[in-house]
Amino acid sequence: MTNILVCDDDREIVEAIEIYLVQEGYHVIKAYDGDQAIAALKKNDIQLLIIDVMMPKLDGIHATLKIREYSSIPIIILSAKSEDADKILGLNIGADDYVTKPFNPLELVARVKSQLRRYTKLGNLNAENNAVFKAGGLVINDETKEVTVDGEAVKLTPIEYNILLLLVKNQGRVFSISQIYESIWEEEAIGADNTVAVHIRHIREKIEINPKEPRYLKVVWGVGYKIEKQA
Amino acid sequence: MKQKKVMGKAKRGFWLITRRVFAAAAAVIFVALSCNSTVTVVTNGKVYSETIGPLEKKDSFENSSLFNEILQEEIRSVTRMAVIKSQLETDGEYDGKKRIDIAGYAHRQENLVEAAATARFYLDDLVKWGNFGFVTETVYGTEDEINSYFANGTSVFSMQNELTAGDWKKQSDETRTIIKSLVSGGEEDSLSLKMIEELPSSREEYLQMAQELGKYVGDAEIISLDVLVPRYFSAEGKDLAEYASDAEEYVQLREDLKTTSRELFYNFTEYSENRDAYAPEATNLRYCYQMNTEGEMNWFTNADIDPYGLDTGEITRRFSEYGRYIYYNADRAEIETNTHMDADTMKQEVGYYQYAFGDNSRLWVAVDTSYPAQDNFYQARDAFNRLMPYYGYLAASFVLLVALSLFLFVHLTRYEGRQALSEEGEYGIVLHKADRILTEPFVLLGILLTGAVLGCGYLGYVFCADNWEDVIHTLWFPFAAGAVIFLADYVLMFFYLSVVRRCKAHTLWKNSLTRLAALTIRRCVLSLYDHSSILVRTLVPFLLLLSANLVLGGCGVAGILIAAAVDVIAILVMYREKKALQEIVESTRRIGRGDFELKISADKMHGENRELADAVNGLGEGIKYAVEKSMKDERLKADLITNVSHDIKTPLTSIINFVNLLKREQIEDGRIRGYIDVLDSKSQRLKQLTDDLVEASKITSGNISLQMERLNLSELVQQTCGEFSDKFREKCLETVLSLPEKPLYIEADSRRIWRVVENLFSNVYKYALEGTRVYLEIRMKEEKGQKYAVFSLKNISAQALNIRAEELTERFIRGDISRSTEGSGLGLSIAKSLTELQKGKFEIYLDGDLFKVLITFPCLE
Repeated sequence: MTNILVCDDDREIVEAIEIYLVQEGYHVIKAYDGDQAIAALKKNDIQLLIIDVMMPKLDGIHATLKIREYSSIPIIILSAKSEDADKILGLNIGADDYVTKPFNPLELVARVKSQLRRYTKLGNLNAENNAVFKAGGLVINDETKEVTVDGEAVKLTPIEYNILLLLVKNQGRVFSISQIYESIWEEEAIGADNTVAVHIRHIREKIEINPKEPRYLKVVWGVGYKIEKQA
Repeated sequence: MKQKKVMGKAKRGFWLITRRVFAAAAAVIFVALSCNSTVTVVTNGKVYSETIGPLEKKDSFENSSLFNEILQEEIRSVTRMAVIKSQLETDGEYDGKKRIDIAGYAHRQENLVEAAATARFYLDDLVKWGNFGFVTETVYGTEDEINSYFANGTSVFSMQNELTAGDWKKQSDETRTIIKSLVSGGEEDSLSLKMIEELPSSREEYLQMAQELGKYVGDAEIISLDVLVPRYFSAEGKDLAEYASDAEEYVQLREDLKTTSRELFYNFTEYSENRDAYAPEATNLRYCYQMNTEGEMNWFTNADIDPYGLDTGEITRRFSEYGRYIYYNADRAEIETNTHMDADTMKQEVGYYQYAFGDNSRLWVAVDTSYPAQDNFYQARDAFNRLMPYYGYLAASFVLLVALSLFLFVHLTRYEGRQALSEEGEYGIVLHKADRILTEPFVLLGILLTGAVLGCGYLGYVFCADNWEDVIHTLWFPFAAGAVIFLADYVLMFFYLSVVRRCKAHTLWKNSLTRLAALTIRRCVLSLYDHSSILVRTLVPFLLLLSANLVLGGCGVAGILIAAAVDVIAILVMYREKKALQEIVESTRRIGRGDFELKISADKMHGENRELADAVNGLGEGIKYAVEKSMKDERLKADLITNVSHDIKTPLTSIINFVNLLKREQIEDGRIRGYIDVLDSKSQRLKQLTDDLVEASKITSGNISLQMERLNLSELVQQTCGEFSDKFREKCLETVLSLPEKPLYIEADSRRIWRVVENLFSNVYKYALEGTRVYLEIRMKEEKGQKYAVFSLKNISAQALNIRAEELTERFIRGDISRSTEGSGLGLSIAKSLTELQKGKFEIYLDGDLFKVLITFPCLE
């Protein structure tokens, strides 16, 4: 049984999240402020924490800081604060993911699943195979032509696969549309063509939980595309 | 030991008093020393002060320079007395009947061998004549007439013989009577009297006489002669005039007589007063002078010897028995002595009377060191012996006291005014009440008061003492002087220390009358200038300068130079004014460009410039205030919107969540499903609205930071096309993309520029007529030498665009008809604001249903 602690001062939000998570087969423990969350964490065997930032008594940021002193469970911050600065702060103090309100509950569930997979299953996976390329939770096995995200298999067309492989092999490097075109199709790019951009969007839709806020395949607007180098 | 930097109050008082006592003690010693080291020497009626010097030999009085000085004075005096005696005495007694050769005497210093004419007079007569004075009568005549008297005893041209009668004769009688009364005995008809009687007594008289006689005598031929009224006759009983052969010789004789009489009278006075000063019982000095007077060797001595029968050696031996002796041989300028006198000094002393001391002169001088007489030597020895044993100690204590006093003076000066501020040794300068008095009057007062104390002391001394000699040898006198010094020092130190404090606190100049006056004048002039009308301000300096030039220009070269200097100063002042004006203009320009922080330093400006500078400063301040206020308002608004949106988001989250839950329920009723769809889309729109609202307010309040980088505009548009390809296909929109051959690079913030393009594309997606084409074009444009990258987007609107293009980019404005469709109405506004933030240009053109957007950025190479 996987225990998930949900902490938000808005009881309806906690309730709604509970409904979604229970439907997915998780057991939910509820807390309504930071102190309660820490107490619940001590009392129960918790595998994942969803925590709001703006709460009475102890806010989410401080609670996360305290929890990180002794626990490495996945923490997803849930906040109405949508500024870049807020997200950076949250991720820097030890949260694994940051979801802004109002959120799509299905997306939240997907993120929960992703975090749990990584935490429980992939944490000690070691691939020594030369044909296996990894970028965080994204794994490409070039021998079997298999692509998995957080352990979940993803189906890609051959072109999409090749584009993704090119980017994963050169993590951190930005490829422009014409560069990608030339290396995949092996012919010169001819001006106005959306092909590559459309393919990229399709790949994103397949491997990302929220394609508009991609974790792996990032768009560098006006420059090109890249796979973020993962720690 | 660590040196303290501050002196306590009690300590200061102690050192002050100690120093004053030292100074006063030094003064006591100084006065005592100087009073007691002064010996009064009286020789020949003259009073000298001899001083016992600090470098005096202490062993014996006879070896001291004091002894030497007195001896020299005495020798000088004795020598003179010997000379006078040789003139007035015969065989040691005053001889009134001594015959004096007047020419020889008068010219005794000149070694005159033989005078052309001379006469011998009795000493008594000469002395008396010298005492009485000389009366002369002026007579007139031709040279021949006058000389004829000296040649024949009578005139060849005896006028009165030829005159029968005349009034002048009577006058002459009266004169004659007066003149005769001056002549003490002797012949009435002496030649001199005859001349006075017979010759006219004025030039007019002579001419009148000559006229009466019918003679013509030229004015130049008449000479005058002063004839001495013959009070005494010579030893031969003759009138002075009779010794002369002509007028020239007479004048010579007359003058010789006058000189001789006067000098002899003077010498006689001295002789009669001091004749007995060197009597054996009155002095310890013994002398024996061998000298030649009137061709004879004479001896002058007060020693108990008869020098005539003794040879030189014997006399010397006798003199040496007295104690200290000198033998001087004028011939060889040799000296034999046991004193400190040397041959040069002796030669010099004797040298005054060279005529009396011929080559064979010899001088013996001795001091009887048993001092039987109470003379100068006796008194000097007394003072010397009284003072000398203590002299060294006193002098040493004086030097020590002065040194100590000086040291304390420096010490006190150094610490004066300091007051501790902290334990660590920091200190400040504290001023007393007296230090606030203006410097100049204060210093003057100090000088006056100190002078007054010293003056009172001096007056007291003058009034108390009838005889200063008595006073200065009393014991109390030095102490009285010390007390005066003590008081004077008290006053002086009070003022001095105040000046020291002022110096340390830098108020000496600040608090001075001069500075105050200068400042007042400056202030007056400047305030007059600043407050007067523009006419006065312009005219008065100009008129002053003009008049200065005119006035000074008329005063020669120096005036022109000064005028030039004044003009140079005026030019400098004008230059400064212009420079200030220029500064104001420059500052105004900069304020206009947005530098509201700028302040003109108006303190050093005057007149219009100052007013202008103040006004510009006020202007800048006003603008700055307004800008700041509006910025603050915008920020407050943005903050408010952000906070409100956070508060909206929380309930919105619940709505969205539960709507989603509802959607998942298997609801059969189509109507309810419709309601749920409405809830779903409206909640999504509300979400979009809040996000846009926050972003729009952030952009307008300038509350976002940009990360500018080099971007490829074509790449961006291609990427966006890729993102929207599915959505466009959904609405059957066909994109027609036209890209330049070479990629165009612009500088922009990657994510913000994406937001702009995304907004435009979603605008197209929302409002374009289904099934139409969307034209996208990127091209390069050149304008004024600058290359621009232009992105244009054209589409056909689904609704009629019945509003102005500008209104589309104003916040919350959209085509009225399209209000019912999705979108916040902020999209275009945000796009425009973001473009402009990134230094781009955002333009919208509406032409019927054609909607056209142009985005222009400067092109990077």
